[in-house]
Amino acid sequence: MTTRLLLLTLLGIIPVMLMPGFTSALIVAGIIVLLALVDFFLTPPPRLASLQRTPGPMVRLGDPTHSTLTVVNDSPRRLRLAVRDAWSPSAGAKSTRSRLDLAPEENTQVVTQLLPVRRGALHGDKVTIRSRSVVGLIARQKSFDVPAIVRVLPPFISRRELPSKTQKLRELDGRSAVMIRGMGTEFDSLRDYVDGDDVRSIDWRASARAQDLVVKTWRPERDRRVVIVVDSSRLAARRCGDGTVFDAALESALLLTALASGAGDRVDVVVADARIRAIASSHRSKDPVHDLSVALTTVHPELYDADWEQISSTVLATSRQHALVVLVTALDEGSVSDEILPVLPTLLARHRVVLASVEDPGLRELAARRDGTDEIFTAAAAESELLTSKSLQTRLRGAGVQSVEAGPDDLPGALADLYINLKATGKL
Amino acid sequence: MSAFIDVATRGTRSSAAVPVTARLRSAGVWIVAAVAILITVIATMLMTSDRGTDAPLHYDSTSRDGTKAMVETLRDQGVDVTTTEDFDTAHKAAGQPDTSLLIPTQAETLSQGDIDGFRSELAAEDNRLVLIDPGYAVQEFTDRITVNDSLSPLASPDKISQPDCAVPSAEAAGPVETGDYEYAEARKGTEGLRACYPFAGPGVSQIDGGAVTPGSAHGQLIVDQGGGGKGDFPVTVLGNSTWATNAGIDEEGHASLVLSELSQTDHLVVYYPTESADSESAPSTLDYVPSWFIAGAVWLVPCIIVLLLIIGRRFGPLAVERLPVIVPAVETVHGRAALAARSHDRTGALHTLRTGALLRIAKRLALGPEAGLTDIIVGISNSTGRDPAQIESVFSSAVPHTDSDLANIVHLLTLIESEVS
Repeated sequence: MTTRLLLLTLLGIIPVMLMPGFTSALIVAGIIVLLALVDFFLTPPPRLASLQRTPGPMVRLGDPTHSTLTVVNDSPRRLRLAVRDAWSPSAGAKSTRSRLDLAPEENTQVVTQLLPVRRGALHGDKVTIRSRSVVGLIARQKSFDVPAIVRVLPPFISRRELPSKTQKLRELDGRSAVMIRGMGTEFDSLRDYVDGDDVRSIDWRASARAQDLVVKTWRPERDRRVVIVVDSSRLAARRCGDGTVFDAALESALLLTALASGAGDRVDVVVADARIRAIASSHRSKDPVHDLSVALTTVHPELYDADWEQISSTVLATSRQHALVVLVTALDEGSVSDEILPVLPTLLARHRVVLASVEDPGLRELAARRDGTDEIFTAAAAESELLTSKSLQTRLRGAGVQSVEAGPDDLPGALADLYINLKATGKL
Repeated sequence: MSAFIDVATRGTRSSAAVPVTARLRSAGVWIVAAVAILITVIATMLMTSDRGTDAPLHYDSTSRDGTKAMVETLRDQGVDVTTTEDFDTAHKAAGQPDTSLLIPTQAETLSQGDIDGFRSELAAEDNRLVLIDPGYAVQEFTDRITVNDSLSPLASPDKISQPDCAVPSAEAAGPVETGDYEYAEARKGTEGLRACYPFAGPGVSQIDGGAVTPGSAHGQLIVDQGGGGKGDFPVTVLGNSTWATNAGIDEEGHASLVLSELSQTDHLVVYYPTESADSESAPSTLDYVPSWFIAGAVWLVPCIIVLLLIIGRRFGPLAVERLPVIVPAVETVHGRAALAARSHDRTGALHTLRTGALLRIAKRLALGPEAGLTDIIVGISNSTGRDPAQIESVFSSAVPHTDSDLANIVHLLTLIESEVS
């Protein structure tokens, strides 16, 4: 059925009105049906076209990509096609329909522009081909599965904080003489004294040899181990701001990975819920952030509880030497007291443990709104949530675990600051 | 950028045909629908054709009051029987030579024009008209026969009537079942008219006062040879419809009587009048609309069907989205708040709000974790200059008895908290 068939049917009104009667109407209808039938058999079947889909490059969320659909006419007939290159809505395909006119043995490429709106492996949907003949009264149509996947990496919005954090880290470096001596620093080199340097760092023995004032410089420890555990259990599926808690957790893990691997530390990332979902390491990796992004692309939170015993054994297996273990999870009373606290001693025996969690910005908003009775009760409920997480933080501090809690946008920065702080004080 | 490395999975589709089973599966719905429609149509046709032959005395009816047995028997005996419900066909067939016209029932529904048409056709060939229990409608066909209305109202005729006449078919048939009506000649002593099977039994007598003069020939079978004048034709009236029905034809002498009366000519036309046949309705508005306009308007129906087919055809199935799991978090807070509100837990709510405010104030006033309630209250009073008693009441002792109490305390609490610097 095409618009041309409708036009033909509308034209049929002329003979019908000129010769009114049931018989003439039946004859005209019969002629139209006959023409349509003949056209149907003249139309080349859609399966004559061979299809190949080549997905474009993987991108970070928010960047455009594309997919190329190659249509090959390897039949001896001319193909007049309408093609729909369908993608799931979150792939953000701009226009999926195109018209093609393929001579025998001709091929062509249809490029579909994509602007994904969701992280993950986005699957191409079916390709629908509608074929018509020269007359084009009838269109034959068929849908085909042409598998293709476009990978969309986490957005890593917090990378804009990376330069400032790296700068902060560099200030700890030996080139700056205001550096504090203490634990966690190691001897770097000797250089000439300049005004403003700390007199305590003058190396008198070297100065005597060089006949000039020489200072020792220090730099922070390198080659430490950082293990980031991202919880992908049901608690990470909570809606929070625009995305989920898990999105914010990934951002934090990415920023910390970028920062720590830049500072010469080795970073391992474990994503786990009831099972281990993904493991990535900066060891022997040229671009740890990218590798981690790729590893995390297909991971989405699932409605399981995290198995913390398994996670802790994985962490212990990952790093035998002393490491900074960052648990990015939720400050949920049940899971912390029943699941995390029992496994903490084994982790703390060898490592330094830090717990980072995403705070729902909606809670503070609800707690501050107190106009009517209903709102007061809501504020009280929200306040009670905040108090619970605060008391959990206190309990964790008692167990020797430092914790950070911040909104989804602030958590990456807060965690980076905590890392820098630990680095400066040599507690890694 | 390393982010643009192509690690694409490339998918292809060869032009290999889809397996037949898959095609059948996708076409299954249509096949089932087609079969269902076919079955419905056949069933409807069967049921409607059954229903069409239920009319009493109908020549195709096999029910008890049908006359199919009679018609078929006549055909077996070599009579050329034409059966019709159409007036024109009956009219044309009645004009053939050596023909009888049988109108088994509903003679009263015929219009005067139709009757006149039959009369002229019958008279032209001197063909015979046979009527089965026509009632007063018989007067429309001939002025020589009428219903016998001179019968005593006290009469209770016998169940079985005897021929009691000189008509050979009646004499051969013998006694028959008695019907409801008796017919008689319109004028006493009409030439060529014979009457058989008169009512007999207790109380049967002719009385004066009716249109029929007492002493006229009367009976349930009237055989009239016609007056011989122009426009006259033979008429036979069978006064009881039971004689001809499927159920009654094998009783008594019915078969003999009816079959011999109807097989006197080589051709027999059975005309079954239907009421709607010639009922002319008043001209409606539609009759004034030109036919080309109606044809054009009706033609829009296929146009609309084609349009719907075009619009309704989807360009491939809907694209599927695989959605990630998202758990609504703040909703639990709302749920807890609604529970507290329903149970009027004002004390609990206030306690929570007080604790939160005190913790924040203590942090702002740089008081250590060991600071007690009194220390904080002193701190607040120093910072804001408010009465310590009021602060103590708001932060500790006041009990909210009503919702407005709660609102007031919380309002003051929020105010004091905002004043602390």
